[in-house]
Amino acid sequence: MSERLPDLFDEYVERLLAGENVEDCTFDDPELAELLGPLLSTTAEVVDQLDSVRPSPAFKRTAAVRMRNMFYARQAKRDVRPGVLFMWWQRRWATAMATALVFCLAGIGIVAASVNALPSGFFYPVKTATEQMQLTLTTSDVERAQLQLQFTERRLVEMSEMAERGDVETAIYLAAEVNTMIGQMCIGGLGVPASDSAWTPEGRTGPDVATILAQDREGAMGLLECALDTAPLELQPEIQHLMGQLAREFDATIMALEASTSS
Amino acid sequence: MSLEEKELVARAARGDADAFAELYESNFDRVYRYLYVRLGNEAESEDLAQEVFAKVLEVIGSYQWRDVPFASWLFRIAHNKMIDHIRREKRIERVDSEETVLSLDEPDPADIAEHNLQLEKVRHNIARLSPAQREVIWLRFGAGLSTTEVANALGKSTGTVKALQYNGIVALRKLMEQPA
Repeated sequence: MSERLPDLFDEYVERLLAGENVEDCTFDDPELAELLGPLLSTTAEVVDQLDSVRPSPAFKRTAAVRMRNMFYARQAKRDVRPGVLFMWWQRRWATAMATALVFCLAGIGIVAASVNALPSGFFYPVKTATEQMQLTLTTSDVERAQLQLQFTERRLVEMSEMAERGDVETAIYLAAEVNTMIGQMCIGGLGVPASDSAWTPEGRTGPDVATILAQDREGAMGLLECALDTAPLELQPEIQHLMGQLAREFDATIMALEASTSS
Repeated sequence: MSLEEKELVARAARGDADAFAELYESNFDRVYRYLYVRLGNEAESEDLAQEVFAKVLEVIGSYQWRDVPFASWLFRIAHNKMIDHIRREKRIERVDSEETVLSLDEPDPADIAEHNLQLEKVRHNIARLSPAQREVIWLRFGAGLSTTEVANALGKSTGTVKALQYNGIVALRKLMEQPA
């Protein structure tokens, strides 16, 4: 029987994984029950513990948006390898960059010089690391929201600039960043209930990049409109300003991408 | 691999965004779980899970379902990413952990603390198994792969995988019975 034990055990494991309880797994042979019963209990405990591990819903949603945009970026420009810009956003990089670069470079003016850097530029990581650092060091909710509005506007400008230069992949990546930032800012900081939001990036599809970006623009705009009702009064002029900027930059980006992909 | 999944993978490889989104949605949690069980760090596991899918996106066109089931192929990528990460970080295997998000219905802090302790005990003891046994346990119970998929991912026979699973659980039971 010992030769068959791993096979028999695997059959019972399959039943556990299919949703049966240990108590449901009865054995005809008492000797087998004594041998395999405790092992199945251990297996059930392992499965139960490991099954409790889940990614955070917020991260999964954000990652889905990024993945979808990477997918469309590859479709739009197949000869460009993905993943170069993808590396910049990662938190372990951001933290390391923020601590190392900001402190090292602040004294020699590179941080100030990086403000206008574009994603293709050498100092762009300094720019994003500085933003991350500013957000980390800000304790006031209102000031943090002001910074988020300001940084979102920067991404919008970068997005249309990169589209204008014909860098489709980076422009689409930045569009995803804009969506993510607005979603996090509105739902996380400006009090927009997630259930009231029109921002549902999962499952968004369309025949082409322009359609997807137009949907993104509408979703982001809907969230900002909701934020006008929930945000503190002092932030409302800045939100309205961002809404205008968002409409202009998305329109410019879509036009540039259409011109780029049709040529 | 079911016919539906084969069709889904083929559509994703041809550039169907819906198909890729469905593959992402149905596999992201278990890739994350597999990585977390090994690394014990929420942020690193999330970043790596996303890197895994970025790699899938890059190479899905070269995937051949005749050679290996999709799940086995996916977890080979996950495994390789994790090994690269560990080498890059020049770290030894961790047994400590940062806080993780747990799907508890009532997030009472005491319950979460107790649950985290139990989870860490399981992770810690799996890490003490032989390399072959723990890889099988990670893939079988962390990633939720079938015996055949585990065999394909590791390049072993199903008989060997079943034996490693059995012996791994026997060893794990002994370890878990030991006082902390």
